[in-house]
Amino acid sequence: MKASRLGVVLTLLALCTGCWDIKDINTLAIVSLAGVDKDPKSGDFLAYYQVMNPTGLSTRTGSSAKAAVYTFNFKDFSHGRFTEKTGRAMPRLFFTAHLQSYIISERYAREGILDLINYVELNPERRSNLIIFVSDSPLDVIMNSFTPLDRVPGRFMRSLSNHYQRNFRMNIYPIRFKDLEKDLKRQTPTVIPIIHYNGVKAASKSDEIEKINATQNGLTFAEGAVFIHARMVGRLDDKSKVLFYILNKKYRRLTETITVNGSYVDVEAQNIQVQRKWIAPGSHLSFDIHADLRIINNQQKRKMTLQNLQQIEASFNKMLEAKAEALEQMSKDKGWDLLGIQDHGGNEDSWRQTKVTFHVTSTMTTTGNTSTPYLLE
Amino acid sequence: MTLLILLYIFFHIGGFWILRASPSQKKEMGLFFGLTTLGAVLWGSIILRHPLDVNKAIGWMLSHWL
Amino acid sequence: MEQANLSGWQLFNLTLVFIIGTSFILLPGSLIADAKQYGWLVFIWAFLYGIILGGLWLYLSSKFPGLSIVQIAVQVLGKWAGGFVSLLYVLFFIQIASWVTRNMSDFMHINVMPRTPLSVFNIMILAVCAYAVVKGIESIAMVCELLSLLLTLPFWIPFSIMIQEWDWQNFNVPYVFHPWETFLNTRYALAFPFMETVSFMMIFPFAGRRLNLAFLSGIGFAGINLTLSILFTIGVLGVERASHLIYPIFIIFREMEFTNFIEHLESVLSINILLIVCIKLSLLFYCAVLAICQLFEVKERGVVAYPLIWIISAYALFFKNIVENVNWVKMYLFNYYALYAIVIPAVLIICARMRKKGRFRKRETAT
Repeated sequence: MKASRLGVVLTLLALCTGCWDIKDINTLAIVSLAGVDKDPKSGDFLAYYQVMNPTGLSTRTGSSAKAAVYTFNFKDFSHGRFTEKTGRAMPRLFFTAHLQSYIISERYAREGILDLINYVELNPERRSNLIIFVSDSPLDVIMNSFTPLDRVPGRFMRSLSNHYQRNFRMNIYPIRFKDLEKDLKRQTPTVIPIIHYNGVKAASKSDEIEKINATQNGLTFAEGAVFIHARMVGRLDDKSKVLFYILNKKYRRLTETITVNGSYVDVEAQNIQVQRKWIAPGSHLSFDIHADLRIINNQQKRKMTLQNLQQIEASFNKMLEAKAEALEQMSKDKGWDLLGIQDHGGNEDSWRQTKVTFHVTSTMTTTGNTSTPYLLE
Repeated sequence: MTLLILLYIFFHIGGFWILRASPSQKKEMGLFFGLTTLGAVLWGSIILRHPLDVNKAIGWMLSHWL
Repeated sequence: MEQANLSGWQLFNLTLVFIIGTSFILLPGSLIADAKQYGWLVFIWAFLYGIILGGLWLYLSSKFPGLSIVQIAVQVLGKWAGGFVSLLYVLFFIQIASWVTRNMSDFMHINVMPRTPLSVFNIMILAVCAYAVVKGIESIAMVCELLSLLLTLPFWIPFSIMIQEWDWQNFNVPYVFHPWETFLNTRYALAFPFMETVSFMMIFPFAGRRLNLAFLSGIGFAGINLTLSILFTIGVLGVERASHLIYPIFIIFREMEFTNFIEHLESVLSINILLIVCIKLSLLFYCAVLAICQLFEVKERGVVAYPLIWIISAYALFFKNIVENVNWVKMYLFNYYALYAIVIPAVLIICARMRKKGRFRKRETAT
């Protein structure tokens, strides 16, 4: 009796559910980076998928393939059609669960990416915590370029964003699909980094990354793309982008150069805290900003005294207040609520008339190794 | 459909064979047969795409009588 | 009926797992869509309502110690009317069991294994639960006792870590709260899961002296758990996103990552859900089997349990898709469950009083 029961159980195991959804790792095309562009005339989507090449990634000498990733591109008129289309070109099963980043072309971003957001959210194979970048260089150049130092471009971009991530409170860099989704009903824009390819031709051969000059055909992230309700409305320069993150997204670090006594002093503001207060609800908003300063470079030709440090602090405070006021003016001129006035108690109709004042205080906490600079008499 | 009928027959054979081992009564065999047949009828209705949808029936009763 | 003894702690765990069951995966999306940032309030009044109803059932059970609801119905209403009511309860248990099975297989099918047919999930889990039922309520209770800590910690620890994504602005959605209107629109949250706990009236005869405390505190604790999980969902995901998703808690787990290394924790949640559903389904299956056995005076549970797999697995396939399921629940569930959870127990109490059955008779003879 017991043996027959065992036999029945073992036979039933053959009906186990791995039959239909079996995914053997050797048969998967693991996509690490995806790019999408939309042709404004035809409405067709151009999708690029960068698939990791396991043999190319292995560090064993004598491995035949040197390419760490291969890029496949497809063209179709609807997002959902790509999954099937990949089966016609990729020898392995299309697997997007490990996708780290998404690059969107600027022209698609300016048209609005709500359809992409809906697609990513609906699809159980995708996750909405993918980070997004906007590219102002042609997408096929970026997707067909190898990257130095980290051979998988998807990981390269992810690592680059991780450096910024550490400086956000709670370690969250809000450039993901889910941050765009959260801001769909809000008035504060979302700022997504723009990647730019420095060269002209794509670094499409793995020999290219043997060259020592990593900047020449490499990627840089500088400006920010301003998204309001999932549509790109403009660009922000690097400094404004950082200030936006400080004022709205709990970014805690800023590096600035100030002029004190006619010389440059580079300071790093750490642990920046921002508090909003409505002096007159709806009409006068005040920002209290506090930072701890650290001197990185001091070119002043005088000894570092307490008074000198106070001068540096005062100069930093004034500079940051001026920059914040410039950001406020720009945001009101362009109609982008970069200070988040509407979402924090402001009026939708009269936010542009809201008076905003900035009050910056700072404390010099770290001064570096020298107390007096070297001088030439 | 043939798979359903085959499963039904084998299930009964298996069930009656196991029931023979313990002292069984007519009531237990009848219950076994009745429940399995009811289940098989429901399954058959699903396979034939004319499901005897109890949920729809309850919904209809609730919307008409309440 | 088997001679089983459930301790207070076992009954508490069974109640807790039963109520949390499939509600924490299915309800948050709809509740947040209906009640926006006040979704968590709905669970507060729902579990208070559950406690009151629990009190009603405990009162009825106390008048007929050692008897399950089908036995009470037969005793109070007589052989034919009582038998009809018992059959209704059998149908009720089978229905809840099939809906629970369907919820689980929908979840697995949508999120984890989209190519596997639903019937395969149904039959697999029902076969396991049928085996558990044949082994008896003590086995089910012991498994539940063993697993309850394993289910709670892997859920709450990662969930609490997601507090780093908390945003108080998510509670500032422009929405005017109308309590009565919200109460009416979210009636289904009262029905599922709190009115389903009338199934425990089949288990009350096995419980010891700590029945009242264990049962009511189980309902309360489960309610608090559910309230907190909805509160977390609103705080972490936001009203906008949570109301658009079918399984918001699953998405929270899917998007969790710490230290760039630990991610894809939705697999932990999937296992959690599978275990919870197994226990809830075993319990409901047991109630159905026990009700049939008591009605037809059959001792051998296996004779009823295995054929019941056919019925429950077929019933579970009646809804075409999850949208039809959710619509049915919103429109009809409260009214349908009211019959079993409120009307029939109330009728039984009134009839028992009038006909002086059970402990109502003793009071009369004493005076």
